[in-house]
Formats: sequence, structure tokens, C-alpha cells
Amino acid sequence: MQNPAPRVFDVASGALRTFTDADLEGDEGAREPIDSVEVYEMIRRIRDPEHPVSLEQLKVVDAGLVAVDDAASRVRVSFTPTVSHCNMATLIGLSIRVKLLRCLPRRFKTDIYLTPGSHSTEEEVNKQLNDKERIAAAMENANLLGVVNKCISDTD
Amino acid sequence: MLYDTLECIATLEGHKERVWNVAWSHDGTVLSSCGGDRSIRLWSRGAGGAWASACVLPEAHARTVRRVAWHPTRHVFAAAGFDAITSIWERNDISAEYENVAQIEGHENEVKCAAWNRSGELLATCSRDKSVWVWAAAEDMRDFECLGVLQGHMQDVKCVLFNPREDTLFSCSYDDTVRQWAHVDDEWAEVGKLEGHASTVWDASFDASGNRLATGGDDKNLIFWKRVEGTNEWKMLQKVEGAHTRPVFSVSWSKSHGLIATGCGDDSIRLFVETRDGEEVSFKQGLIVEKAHNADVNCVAWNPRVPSMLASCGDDNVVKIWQLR
Repeated sequence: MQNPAPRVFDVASGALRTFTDADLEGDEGAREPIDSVEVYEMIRRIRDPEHPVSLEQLKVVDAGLVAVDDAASRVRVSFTPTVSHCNMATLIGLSIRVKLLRCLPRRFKTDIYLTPGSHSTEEEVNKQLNDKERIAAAMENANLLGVVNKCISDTD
Repeated sequence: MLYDTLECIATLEGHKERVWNVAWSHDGTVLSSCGGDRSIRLWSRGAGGAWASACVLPEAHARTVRRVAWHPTRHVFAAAGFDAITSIWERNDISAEYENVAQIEGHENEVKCAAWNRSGELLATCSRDKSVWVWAAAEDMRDFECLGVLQGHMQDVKCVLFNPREDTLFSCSYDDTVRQWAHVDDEWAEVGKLEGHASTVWDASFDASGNRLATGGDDKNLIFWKRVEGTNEWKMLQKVEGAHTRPVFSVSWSKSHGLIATGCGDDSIRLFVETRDGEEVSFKQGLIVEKAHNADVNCVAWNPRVPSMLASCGDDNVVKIWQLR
């Protein structure tokens, strides 16, 4: 276990904002604008691979570290592992990437990074998380996909 | 070459997932496409002249089919699969269907690219296992003998290609370098390293002379390299920075008119043109097709026989054919 006793923070239990039916359904084919609150809502309940708590409760993800440029269809998410040598960092990043791939409209391009200075092999993890060929290959690995699915199931 | 636009003349649908690669047969009559749905699709002109599906090879591999490489003189192609296998397909001249005639094993994991040398007697493959393998093809394409396992790259090898004029081999990697390999003293060995990209090198393409190379990288740069005459040494000629706003996934240098096409993660296709000012040679962006696809453009490929024709594919599951006008 990388961090046997991480600090767990109190978080809001409900949605951060009430979405109207129009937000959630929209017109078929219409361009639905997305903001950082919505993107944060998609990832905050992702479970930590090692603890029965959410990434939000561990402050691995933070609303302030989600940037959205709706016009350009770009999303940037930074995350902060609880310990700087955490070898779960890639798995956490992969879970965030897969969750966003499944939830965001397809027009979005997503970049995922470690918070600068938060990890001993920051550059290596960042490169891996943003190589779409490696991500595609990883998602064809049944074991890895199973672990990722466990982290992101029932987190909507 | 004079042109005003790149016009889309066909949008080919059928793939159910991301299309990674498009490639033309040596005679320019068949276009292959492959991708995340594990199939290989072949497209050609129907009786009325319209591009249409000619053949679907479903479940060609057990995992993603990353690239297809056509033999330089025959209706034979090699397909590189994430299932660690390189499969060889040959057209049956009686049924006109493509049959899987050989399965090449050896790599530990994902095969990312395959390439033939100019005579079609050698095949190179590369993988996430960091190695490049060189194979000798039997005349009947049923048997492939390994001539060398080339170690040197520190990370995944994304792409391999032979020089169009001689049997030197180039490989591009996640380790940010391009390496050059040649058959020296009876074995394949590394003879040079091209350093200049700041991140993964995704793809490369030679000009017709084999003396210049263009490479595209995750650093969003397109780099032109020139061989130092009479040597194996390559020097950077020009780094095109600021043109692409996302990774450059594909480069195709036309062997006939010399235009360089790129496929980019910003959904655009760009054409670069060589300009001369006295002795000074430089490459400038000549045309951009924004939103060429509704997602990343993964591959662009000039038709070897119809110089004005370009094929492309993307993360939108679509293959397109373009005409320069």
C-alpha cells in the first residue's frame, strides 16, 4: 500500500449544482456547452484504487484544477497524488481519462497532468497519460480495464 | 504544383471505432484502412468511378490493427497488430479476395508498424517491446526469417520505414529519437541517431531522393532532416514550430510533386511546400483544411499513382479521400 493512512476530507454529498433537464438531455445533436463545474462533477466521485474513498475526499482532484475551454473543446485536468512516490498515479490518471472519455461529448480533447511538483516521476507519468496509443492499448488489457472500471463504476 | 484547395471527394464509413491508418497499394488502386475495431477494410473505385468498400476483413487481429504496409510491387500487405502479431495478406487472383497467408510472431507485445524495403524482400516491424525486427520474406510470402533484432531504443518504437533508394532502415520512438539502422559487417546495427524532437516521434516520411526526411512529433513540431552527402549522417534542416496546435501524428511526403501533408491532433490536414531563395531551402505551410475530420487526424497518405489524391482517417471512425484542385 502506497499511503496506508491518507487524510480524508469532508465533501459535499449531493451534486455541486442542480442540473436542469435541459442540461442533461439537450437537443439531439445540439452543441451542449460544458463548464468546469460539470467536468469536476464527472470525476469527483472516482474511487481511489487503494482506499474506499473518492478522489475528492483525498483531495487528489480539486475543482480549481479543472480548466475547460468550451469554444475550443479542450479540457485540462490536473491531479495531486497523496504521496509523491505513489505508483498508483498512472492508474488514477487513467481512471480520470476513461471516465471523461465516456462522459464528455466527443468533440472534447482532454489533457491530464499531475500537479507540478506532486510526483517523483512527473514527466514520465504525464507522457504516458497523454499518449493515446498507449491508452488505447491499455484499455484492451482486460485486467487493467477491470481495475479502472472498478474505480469509476457508479460514480455518475 | 499549383493548387487552390483540397476537396473531399469521398467519405468512407464502416469502421466502428477509431481508424488508425490508411495506406495505398503500390498501383494506387486499393486503399486499406484499419483500427480499433480490429478489422481491415479495403476500398476501391466501383464501376461508376465512386469509391466504395471492396472487401472487409473482420477480426483480422485479436486486438487493434495499428498499421498496414503494402508490398512495393505486389498485391500483398503486412498488418501490425496490438496482439503482438504481424499478419501477411495476399490477393487470390482467382477470387480477388485477400487471404491471410502468414502470421509472424516474435514481438513480446503490441506491434505498432511494419514496412517493406524497396524490393519487397525485407520486412521490418517494431513494437512497444522497444525492439525493431528485420525479416527476410520468402518469394511465396509464406515464410519470414528473422535477420536481426535491433535493440537501442529506450522506449516503444512507434514507426519504422526503409529509405526508398537503399536498404537503410529508420525507426521513430517514444524515446524522442529517430534511429538509423543498416546492414554492416554481416549484421543489422545502429548507424545513426536523429535528435531534435522534444517528445515522442510519431511518424516519418522520405522525399523521392531518399536524402531528406520529415518527422512529426508529440511536441507539435514537424522537422525536416537532410543527409550529409555521401555519409550516414543526418542534420536538421528546419524545425517547423507553431504551425500545429496538437501532436503531429502523420507525415506523407509526395514522391511526385513534393508536397508534404500532415495529419494532426487538432483535426486539421496541412500541406507544406518547399521554397527556394537562392541556395536557401525552406518549407512553408501552403494550405490548411481545418476540421478535416471531426476528431484527431491519425494518418494522411498520398496516392502513389494519382499525385493529386490524398487519403486520411481519424478518431471519428471515418476515412476520407481528397483531391487537390
